[in-house]
Order: sequence, then C-alpha cells, then structure tokens
Amino acid sequence: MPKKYHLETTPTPARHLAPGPSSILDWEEGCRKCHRCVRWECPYGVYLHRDVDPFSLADTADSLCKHCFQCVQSCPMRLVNQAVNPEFTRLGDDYWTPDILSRIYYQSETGLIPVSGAGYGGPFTGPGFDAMWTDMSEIVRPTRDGIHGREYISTTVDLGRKPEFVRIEPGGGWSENGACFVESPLPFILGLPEGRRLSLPLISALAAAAEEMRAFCLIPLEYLKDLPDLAPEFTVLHLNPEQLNLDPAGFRGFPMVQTDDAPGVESWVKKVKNSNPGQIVIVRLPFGPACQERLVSLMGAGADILHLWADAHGLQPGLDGPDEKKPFLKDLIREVHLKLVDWSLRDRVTLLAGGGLALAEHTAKAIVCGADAVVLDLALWAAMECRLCPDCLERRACPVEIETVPLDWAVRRLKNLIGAWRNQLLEVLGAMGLREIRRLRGEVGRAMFFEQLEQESFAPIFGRRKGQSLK
Amino acid sequence: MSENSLKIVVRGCHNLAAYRRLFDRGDPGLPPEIEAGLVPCSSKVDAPHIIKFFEHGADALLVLACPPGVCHLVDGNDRAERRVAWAARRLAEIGIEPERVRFLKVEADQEEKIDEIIKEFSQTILELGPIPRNSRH
Amino acid sequence: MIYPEVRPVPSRYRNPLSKFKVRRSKACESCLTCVEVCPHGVHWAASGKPQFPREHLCHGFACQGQDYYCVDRCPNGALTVILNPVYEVLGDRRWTADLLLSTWHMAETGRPPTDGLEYKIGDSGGGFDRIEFAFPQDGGPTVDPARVSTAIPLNRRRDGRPELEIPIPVYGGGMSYGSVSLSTMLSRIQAFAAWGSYCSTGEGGFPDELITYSDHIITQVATGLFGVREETIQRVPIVEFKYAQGAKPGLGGHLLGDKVTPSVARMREAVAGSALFSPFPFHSVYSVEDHKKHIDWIKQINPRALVSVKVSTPTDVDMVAVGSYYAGAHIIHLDGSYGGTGAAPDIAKKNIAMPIEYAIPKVHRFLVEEGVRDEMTLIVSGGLRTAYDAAKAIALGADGVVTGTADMVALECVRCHNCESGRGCPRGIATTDPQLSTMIDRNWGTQRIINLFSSWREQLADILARLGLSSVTELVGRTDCLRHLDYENDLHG
Repeated sequence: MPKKYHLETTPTPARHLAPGPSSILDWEEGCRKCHRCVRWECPYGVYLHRDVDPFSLADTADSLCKHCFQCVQSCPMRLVNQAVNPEFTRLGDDYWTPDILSRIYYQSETGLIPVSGAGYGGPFTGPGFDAMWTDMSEIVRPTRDGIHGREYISTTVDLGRKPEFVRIEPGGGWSENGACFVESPLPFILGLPEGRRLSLPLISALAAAAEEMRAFCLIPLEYLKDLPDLAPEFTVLHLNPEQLNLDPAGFRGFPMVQTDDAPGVESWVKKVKNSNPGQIVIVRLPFGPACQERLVSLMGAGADILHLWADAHGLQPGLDGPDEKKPFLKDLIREVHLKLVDWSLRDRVTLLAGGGLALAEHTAKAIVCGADAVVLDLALWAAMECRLCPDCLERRACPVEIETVPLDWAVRRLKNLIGAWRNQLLEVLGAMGLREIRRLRGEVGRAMFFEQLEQESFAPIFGRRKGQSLK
Repeated sequence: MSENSLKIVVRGCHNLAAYRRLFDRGDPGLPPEIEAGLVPCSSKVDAPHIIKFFEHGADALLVLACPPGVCHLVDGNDRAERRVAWAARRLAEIGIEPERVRFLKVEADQEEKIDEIIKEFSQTILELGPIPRNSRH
Repeated sequence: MIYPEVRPVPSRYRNPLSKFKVRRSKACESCLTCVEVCPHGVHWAASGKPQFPREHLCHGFACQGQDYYCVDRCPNGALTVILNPVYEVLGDRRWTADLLLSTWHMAETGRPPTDGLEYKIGDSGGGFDRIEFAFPQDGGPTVDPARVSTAIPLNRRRDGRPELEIPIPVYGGGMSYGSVSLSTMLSRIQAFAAWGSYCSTGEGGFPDELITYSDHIITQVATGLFGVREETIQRVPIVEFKYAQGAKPGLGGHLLGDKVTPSVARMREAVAGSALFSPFPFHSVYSVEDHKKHIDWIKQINPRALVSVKVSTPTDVDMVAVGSYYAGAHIIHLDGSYGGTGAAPDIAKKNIAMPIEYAIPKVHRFLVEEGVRDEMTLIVSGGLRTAYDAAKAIALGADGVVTGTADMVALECVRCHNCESGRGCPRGIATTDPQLSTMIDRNWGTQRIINLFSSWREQLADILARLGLSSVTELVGRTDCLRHLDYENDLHG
C-alpha cells in the first residue's frame, strides 16, 4: 500500500486584522444602561472581545461580527446598527473580490475548507469560471465509502514528457523515447505574481513551503545565491533572457528549468537538452494568437512543458478594449489543448496554465479544460494577507508588511491554503466518482458549461439568445 | 512605525465623495505621517475608541464628517462632534493639547480641497511634534 | 375550498428589520399629527405620546410629495426618514434584502408588500430572475381568481395506492432534527398539516413529538439511515428516498460535532459531540435494479405509502428520473444545486450539479418523450424563494415544488450562513442548542408559515387567472407562457 500523501495544516492567525463586510454602529447617546445589555447577549461574544486593533486602529468588532442582527433587533433604544464597511469594499478588485480575498484569508488561517450553512447566495452565472459547473455521479464512486474514499483519491500529476512508447534495444533492454518527467503530489506549482512586491523572505517562504509539501516552486536564478538551503529537487529554475548564455551544465542539479519565449529560444532549448539529459525544459509564453504557432516549434526543439499564462484576471494578455470582449482562461486553455489533441501531440507535452486562479474550483475547472497542472501566484500572496492594492509598487508602504513575512508563519499560511484547496479538489473529484486528478484533464464531459445548458434547456423554449455577452 | 515618526489619524465618512475618491487608486497619497481610513459614518468613531487611538500611538486625530443636515444617519455627524469634543477634554486632562484633536463638518465648497485641509492639519501637528511618551510606546 | 386562516403575526424581535428608519427628534411636541396622517400605521401613540415608529411598515421615500408625508406634515420638522444602513448589509444576490423583507411581510400579514419592495425576483442575473410570465397585453384576469384551483395530485400511477392530493402545489422539504430545532420542525409540520399538505422529516429521524402529525409527514430514508425503522416507515403516507441533496451533490449529509447534542445523538443512535457524515450514495444501491429493490422494500413494508425519490441534478438527471419511474416511484423530486443546507462546502454549493431551472425542462421533456410523464409527479426544489419562482418552475415542467429556506425566512432567518458554526443558528432556527432553540414559539412559527403560503396561494391564483387558466395543473409545461429576458422569445408567434 503506497504511503498516502498528507498535507499538514496548522491554524495560523493573521498578522494584520482584515476588515469584515459590515461595520457596527454602536451609539452611546440615549443609552438606558439596561441591566442586561443586548451587546453582552451576542451569541458570538463579539462585544466582549471587542477592541481597537493597535496596528490599523480598526474596530475589531467589524471583523468578528457574524451579522446575525441580534443586537440590532434587540436594543430597546435602537442604538445598535450596521452599515456596509467601506474598508472591506476597498479590498481587491472586480475579479479578486473582497469576498474571494476573505475566503483566501480564512483558508490560510485555518487550513479548512470553507463550509457554511444556507444555500449558495452568489450570482447564477458570471464571466470566467463562473460559467461552468462540475458534474456529479449519482451512483459511481471511487471507492465503496463516499467519505473515507476521499483519502484514496490522488492529486498527483506528471510534469514533463511522458513516454509515448518503449523502444526495445537490440541485445535486450529497453528505453523510453526521450521521456523525462517528474511526479508532483499536487497539481499546483508555486510561482511569483507580476507587479507585486517581491523580497527574499517571500521567495524563501515559497521555496520552504514547496519543499515541505514536496511540490515545485519557480525560483529566479538571481535569487539562488541568497537561498543556500534551497532544495533543488523541488525547484524550477527560471532564467531571464540575459541569463540564457550561461553554461547549462551549471544548473544540472535542478529537475526543471524555465525561460520566457522569445525569437530563437529554440536554440537554447536544444542546448539545454543536449547538455543536461533528463532535465525538463519549460518555456513560458502568454496566451494569444501567436501561441499556437509557437507550440509546434518549441516542442520540435524539445520543450517538455509549455507554461501558458493569462493576466491576473484570467484574461488574454496584451489586448486593448473592454474586459468582457477578451477571451478568458478557460476558453484559452481549451483551445490550446484541443489543437494539440487534433495534431496528435497532446501527450508529448505538459500544459501548465496560470493567471486568475483565485478559488480552489478554478484549478479544477482549468484542469477540466485541458491543463495538466496550474501555476499559482497571486493567491499565494493573498495567503500572506496581500490585499491587492492597485498601487502596490508605487505606494510607500505595504499595509500588511508583506516584504518582511516571518518564514515560519508564511510557510504555514501557504500550506494551509494549499491544503484547503487540495481538500476541495478531493470533494469535487469525489462527487464525480474520479479516483485521480490525471483523469480530469480535458474531461469536459465532467463539466457543464453555461452556453451548453442554456442551449439544451432554454433554447427550445425561448429561441435565440440576444446577442450579448455575460455581465 | 518608528518611535520618532509622527502618526496622524484621519477618519472620514465615506459619503464625503471627494474624501472617498482619494482612495480610488489605493493609497490616498497624503504625507507619510497621515494614516487615513474610511468609516461608514463619522458616528462610527466612538469616544472610548478615540482615547485608544492615542494609547496606540496616535499623535493627532482628524475626523471629517458630512455637512449639517446631510448625514445619512440624520445626526451621526452631530454625535461624532460631541464625542470628539468629549475626548479632547479628557485628553487635555492628561496634558494632550486640544489642537491635536479636530472635528470638521466638510461643507460642499470645501470638499474639493479636502486633501489641503488634511495637509494643513498635518502642518499644525508637525509644529507641535509627537506626543512625548515613555519608551514602551 | 377552505384554506387556513391568516392571522397577523409580528416579528419576534423587538426591532423588526426595515428598509427605512424614521427618526423623531426632541423638537416633537406630541401633537400626534403623524399618528393621524400615516396611512401605514407607522406612527402610534401611547399615553398621549408618540412611541418608537413601526419602521418596518414605513413606505419611505415613496411618500414624498404626498399629502400624508409625515416629514412634511410635522409642524416642528421633528421627523426624518432615511434609508436604513442595515438594508445594504442584508441579504445576498439570491435572497436580496427586498426578498427577505417581503417574505417577512408575507409571514406577518399573509399579503405581499405594497410599498414597492420587490417580492417576485432576486438579483442573481440568471435562471428564474431572468424569466418572466408573458401575461396577455390587456392585463386583467380572464378567470375569476377565487375559482382557480391550486391543487395537485401526488399519485398519478393509478396503482391502487391512495390518490393523495394537496391544495397548494407545495410541500415541505426535509430539514433534519439536529440541523434544525424541534420548534422549527413543529412549526413547519403544523403549518403544512394545516394546509392539508406534507412535510418531510429530513434524515435525522422521526422525533416522538411528530407522531401526532404522522398523516402529514414524509419519512425520509437517507444514506445514513438515521432513525429509519419499520414504524417510521409504516406510520406515514409518503416515504422519501434521499439519494442526494442539491446543495452538496455527491457528498453525504454533514452535521458538525457541536450540533450533535445528546438529544440529537439519541435520535440518530450516534455519539454526542462527534460529527456525523452520511455516506454517499446508499451502500445498498449501485444500479437501477438495486434502486427498484429499495422501492419495493418500502412498498412492501407500507402498502399504502407513496414513494418519492429525491435526487440532485447531474447531466444525466433525465436518465435518473426515468429510471425511478421504471423502479416504481410515484414522485421524482429534483433538488437543484442552489438549494439550502445546514452545512456544505462552499465549493459544492456553487459548483456541483446544475441549477434547477435547467433540470426541469430537461426532465419534463424526457419523460414526455418516454410517454410516462402523465404517470409521474415531478416535484422540484433548490432555491425556490417566491410564489413566482414556484409558478415558473411549474410552467417549465414541474407539477409542484418543495420549500426549505423560504419556510425558515418566514421564521425570520436572515441568511447569515452561520447555521453550522458551533451552537448553530444564532436566531434559534437551525439549532438544537438547549438555549437557542427556545427562541421560537411553535405556535408563532406555525402561523408565520401558514401566512406565507396563503400569500403564495393568492399570487399563484392571480398568475393563473391572468393567464386564463383555471387550475395549476394546466400550467405544467406551459413554457409558452414564459419569456426570458436574454432571449428573443420568438418561438411561439
């Protein structure tokens, strides 16, 4: 029985108080000083634990309150009220909403899957991944027992080029034709977000977390000298264009190396493959029209993994115009995946997708659309309390002091988030009746798309859809 | 938060459009000693909380409220005004100058210049300097 | 047809939540003009002095410009009307502040609100919220609403079992003892019994206090088989197999440790304080033949019971439905993905399985094509919030609906989503905590739910009358009566 993969989570409180969605307005004027004040009857003891946070000077009640309105509805003088908290609505943006950021903070603190009562309260559908649902199977299960069967579901993925066939050598023996791949117990690779503060403590935390989880982390070459304890076996070394003329023999110890696509990068790919047999080469390129042409050339040169990225909102990079018109990650991944399937090349290469992955469900859906694994970046920063301020690099100070994260704290927060996301993947796979995430790749039959459901159920009733995009 | 740097706390009602707009691009871009925040109504600011602000290192407080008659909660701004005055009196008892605590109902014609109002306040406080504290703070 | 009586039942809280706040300043000199002029009963006096205004009755800014606008009529200008800041904190996209407030209004008065509060649709941007009825242009009812029938039969199989009928096309969905309090259960059951309808026990067993109502109870046989014994199957007219639940399809029921109080543990024959997970699926069912065995088993134990099969909405929901028909079920109950729950992972609530609006026409069409639609009762649930949602569901192809959350909102649920934390619902609805569960008086609760469905029935009758239909059974599958705001709607002339 192989040892089951286990990701340990530890409750890790935030270093900085995050605002809650509502703000308590608790007026004193006219107070009758009732013997049993309604505030002390709060079922969650919010007023008993209420204080002014020393760092942000915010009212802690605004973060503790669970909006049951008990106090509002019971005060005989009607002195207690609630209003929308403007500090909460400031968090994040239209894609990384305050609600999504709060969920990430919760998971990073507790390591738990967000569970709540009452039914779903969000929009029916929406742009991006919200226009997809995952399916479930009424009867088929991965194992006999639904709940305990979850431990047997595998989230391992293969990164690199898998053997397409086996060549029997003359005189016995066999070889796998040019195959080189590694297994990752998680379908997540830890990466660095664009346009956000970067520092050695942050990168150290990512590297340490990756090592503890036995997963992979992208580290730029220039940081190597500052990371003497770095475990090379869990590192993907990233080279910028100026570093491509370095002798590849120097980084043989790393299982994977990556660089960005550029004209002529194929020669570098070949150079590395010749110099370092068995080393996996990743080329990173943005989704876009040029993408498909480049794929064949890069694969021909020997690239094992293609790391395709969208912007922080999951949209195709480099386009002008309104966001609603830009292609989104799920469709971008599908397009590339299907193209490679058409060309009978899909299994020769691993596809990594990144950009706009803000919820656990996004990773499952990205894999359904055709990615082998995903690269997480901004979500990791959010795990370390990042609020996605629009002026991150220009403003004078980070409100959560992210550049100086303590190592232990940051590693636990990252593991909590990833542990919670992994557990959610298990829920989704368990509901589908799938034993392993590898089988989810490209399995659009396990998903339901908005357009498809509308077509099947509503088109026969209501006719043609008005020519408009989703809000 | 170094020991020698000044900390001026500003709390403004988010219904003051010009004040709210300062936060559209993230940091309001005010001088470094200003720590500005949004409240749903100036009456969010509680008298005991004001004392705590000073306890936690504030050297001054500016509360910006809506003009008379416009408060979304009818008299939130009046309540805030009384509380700030009360807090100023309590702080004066322990030697903190009343000029360090200011309350302002921002009239419509003043809204445009809200960042100037804040900077002017900051100037006055810079001249007063930080509140002398024992080394624990 | 005699329906249960509507009786006014105010909020059990001192300060009902309201859209507007009415403030009276010290300038008031008790002239009581406001008390005289307000047509909505907001202002009232005791001992010659005006008391705290009944804000939840206030129509707010709609009164501006009217001669009864209290703010203008007060000689001292002592009154101000403002939007209540809590209004903007209340609710979510599906249960908006307006839907919560209007449901509370209906639970209190038995009538929909008349102050402009939206009581028909939410703000989810899709599904029922983008579908409306295509009433004939000239508007008025062509049938007398008082003569419209809102009754539906539950047994259409003509198999000799009782031909049960319910006077409104609604019955109560399962919310188990343990996830909700006994007061909540009794309020629902008493209300549905008063309506001549039924209510499910949920999967937590059959508390003794429910035995008097056995004739109106649906015993739920769920995957954990909690409290399922021969007696509980024999004493009821309908038995419901719960294969899955819309909010967390593919996952079993989930009662967190803190909610497994000693009485819950006794009921479920489990250990207090230990979390209870129901498995998924039934360990005895791995094929449609097993499913038929299950149904035969129940039919054998209780020769007069109707059998309902409750499933969620995967892609092949139509196959599942037809499979249930051939297995001998009377009712197929589809629970859509946006339905309620006491506790579920958020990822499941949002993502797994399809919203009920898609499943209804799919299953209806499939059963029609199979030629068996007339022998099955198709009941649907999963986030149905209003009489309009119910009517739309029927027009899409259902025979009737099941409610859960709507009943709880009638009991003043605010959708804070904290049902599962620790002691459970802070408002005393979804909890068995000994202290919290005393917050609801069951007679109060019963009348609130009766009132709510009285309003629903009236609205349904109105919809049918305006469409020229004299019975709700005529509305089934009448998609031609519907329009979708994002479509051309050009299929039916």
